[in-house]
Amino acid sequence: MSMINSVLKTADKIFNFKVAYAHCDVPCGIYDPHMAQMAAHTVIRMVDLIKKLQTEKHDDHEHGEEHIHALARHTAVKEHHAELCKHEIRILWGDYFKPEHVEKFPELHSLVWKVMKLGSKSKQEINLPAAEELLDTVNRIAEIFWKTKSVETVKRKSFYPTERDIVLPKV
Amino acid sequence: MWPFTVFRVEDKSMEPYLKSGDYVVINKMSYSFKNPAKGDVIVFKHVDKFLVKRIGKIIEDGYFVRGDNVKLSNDSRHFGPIDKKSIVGRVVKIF
Repeated sequence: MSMINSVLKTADKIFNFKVAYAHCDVPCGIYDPHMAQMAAHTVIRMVDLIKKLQTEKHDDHEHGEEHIHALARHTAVKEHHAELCKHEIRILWGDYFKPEHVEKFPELHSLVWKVMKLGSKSKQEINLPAAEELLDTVNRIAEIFWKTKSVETVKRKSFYPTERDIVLPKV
Repeated sequence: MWPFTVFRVEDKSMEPYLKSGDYVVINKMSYSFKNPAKGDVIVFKHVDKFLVKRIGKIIEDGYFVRGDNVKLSNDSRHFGPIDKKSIVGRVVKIF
């Protein structure tokens, strides 16, 4: 230890110098909006399937049971994925996005709030416009997420049966 | 105004260049007349803390900062680039 370091150490006890952290925390650092996007697509898909069920005729007992079973399953998956979508966005909001991101993209507040509301609406109702708006909102959050990492994005039709858009990092 | 200030370094993500317990002298006027350069070691404000890192890359909307001890560092790979206005100054002397 140099003499000057010892002098500064003593001075530090008196003046209490500010600390510059080299910051050796090891956070997981693994964040991605893709899970939320997949969940939003799933909600749309389930709404589509439920609406398709409504148009089918089920006269006999056996097909009636199948209908009820399919409806229950689609509804359960819709419920689960709407909640999953909300959860994933909450993770990004709480753990990933920092005040400087919000300063740069002030719409983040209202976008996250919209996902919470639209996610709940998608659980409560068989509401295609709400599910589509949920996906649009999540896609916008995905665009912002990648911008904060200076990664370019591309918005294109997904390969899912929903055939709706998805925002992906350009690689 | 006196342009120099002293910070105490904590943690290991700038090793071997800076060790925990080192004292660094910062020149707050370093970037008054010129822009930060790649390789500069800087102290900047991040949320509610001061961090010390090295500028790894200069991009259109800010500066990518990295810890020299890459495996241990939490830096622009996690929180994105930083703005020039968040920079407190450049490390000019280590004790």
